[in-house]
Amino acid sequence: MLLRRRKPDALQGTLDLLVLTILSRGPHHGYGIAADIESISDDLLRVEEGSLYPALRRMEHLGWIRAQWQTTVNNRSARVYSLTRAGAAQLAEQREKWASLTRGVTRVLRIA
Amino acid sequence: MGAIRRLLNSLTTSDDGFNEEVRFHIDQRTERNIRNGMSPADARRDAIRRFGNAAVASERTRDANLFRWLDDLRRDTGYGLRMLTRTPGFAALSILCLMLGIGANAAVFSWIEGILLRPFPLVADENRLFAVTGIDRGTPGHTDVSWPDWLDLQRGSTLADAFIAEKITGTTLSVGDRAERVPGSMVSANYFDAIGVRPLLGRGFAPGEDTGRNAHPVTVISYQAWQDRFHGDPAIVGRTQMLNGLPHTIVGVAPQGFFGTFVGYAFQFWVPASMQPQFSGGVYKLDDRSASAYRFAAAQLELAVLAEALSQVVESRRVTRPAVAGQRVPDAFASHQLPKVHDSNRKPAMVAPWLPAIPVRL
Repeated sequence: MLLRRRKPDALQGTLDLLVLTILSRGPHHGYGIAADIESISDDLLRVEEGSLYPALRRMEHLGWIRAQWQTTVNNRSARVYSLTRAGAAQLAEQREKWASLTRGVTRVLRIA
Repeated sequence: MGAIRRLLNSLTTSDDGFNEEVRFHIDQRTERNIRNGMSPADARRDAIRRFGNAAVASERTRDANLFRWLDDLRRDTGYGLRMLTRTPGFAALSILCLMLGIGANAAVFSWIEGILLRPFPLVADENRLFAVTGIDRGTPGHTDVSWPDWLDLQRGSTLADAFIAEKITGTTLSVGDRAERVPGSMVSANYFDAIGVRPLLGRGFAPGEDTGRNAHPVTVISYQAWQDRFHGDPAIVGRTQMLNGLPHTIVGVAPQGFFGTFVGYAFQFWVPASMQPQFSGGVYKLDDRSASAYRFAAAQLELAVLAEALSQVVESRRVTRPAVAGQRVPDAFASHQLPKVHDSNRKPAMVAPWLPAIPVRL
């Protein structure tokens, strides 16, 4: 098969985790996701917007999220993403991975 | 499971809306910047800068599709078709050339396969079969081998596994309300045994069924005939079928894919050689000693005289010298107990001694 399965690096994995977390609270469009991440993290995290859309498209193809054109409150059409059941499972898995990663890193840092 | 879902996803989701999505994103960012106190021009510039290179993002977004090659294939095909429609004359010519080339190749190959590679499907050791034909001294070309010659060959040869005799014939069968000419073959009784073809139902021909004048009206029909004419009736063996006006008992059905041993023919039925008078009485040489032969010769003479007389009465009408067709072989002839053909050319055929099976065409 010509499946180009990339090994998710730490950074990309983090973006996925953030996006899935935002979408777990309800459907949102791309700009909204980026804005949410920034505001919730008090601007500590700034999403690289050029890489947000490829990530969204990839997760869409993996079946984690679903996209739909919808009309926003100010009457513009936006592509709204929502979490699928597979996405919810993925979110749980990635949260667990993230938690064990940070626990591990924290333990190592403690010895200094 | 995942791969199938991804394939479906990549088929159902398209990237058509990407530009609009980017525009929406930048507009939203611009509005927010204005709300935060930027001038509209600065706000837009900042939004574009923060988004980064839209073309690269677009490219990477498309790359995220795991089945991008499918989309690429579709695009390439579309491009090819567009180029062809731009030069319809050239396109038509190329398509015609390809069609003719492929068609001719297919035709030649099936011809080669039928003639050279596998001329006789289902026949055991078909590459060991060879044909024996007779020659007349002083006359160019080949003729048939007579039945007595054939018997002599069979008796005399120690190197050949078997000699079989075969002659093409045919009959007219009714298909619904139409008549259809079907090819058949008159064979010696050892035919099916010698070529290793076991009938699907019933039997082949029994020893001795090839002797006697019209003595054994039995037939083996082809699989095709069994299917087409008798609807694959499993109780077909023992039923009768009219062949050339004489009821023949169907004793067997040949296996599917067996068409006989004559290149280019798909025989529908086989009868033993003893039925030759029934199928091609005209090929018999008349025996001059027979009284009825005189009557036949006299009849021919009489017709010739009549034709001559008629041609003089009606000048414009061309009457050729008629022949008497379908004349029965005199009864005296039957005492030979052999379907005798071309008694005159009892010449030994050329036999290559290293090939053990010989079909002899009667």
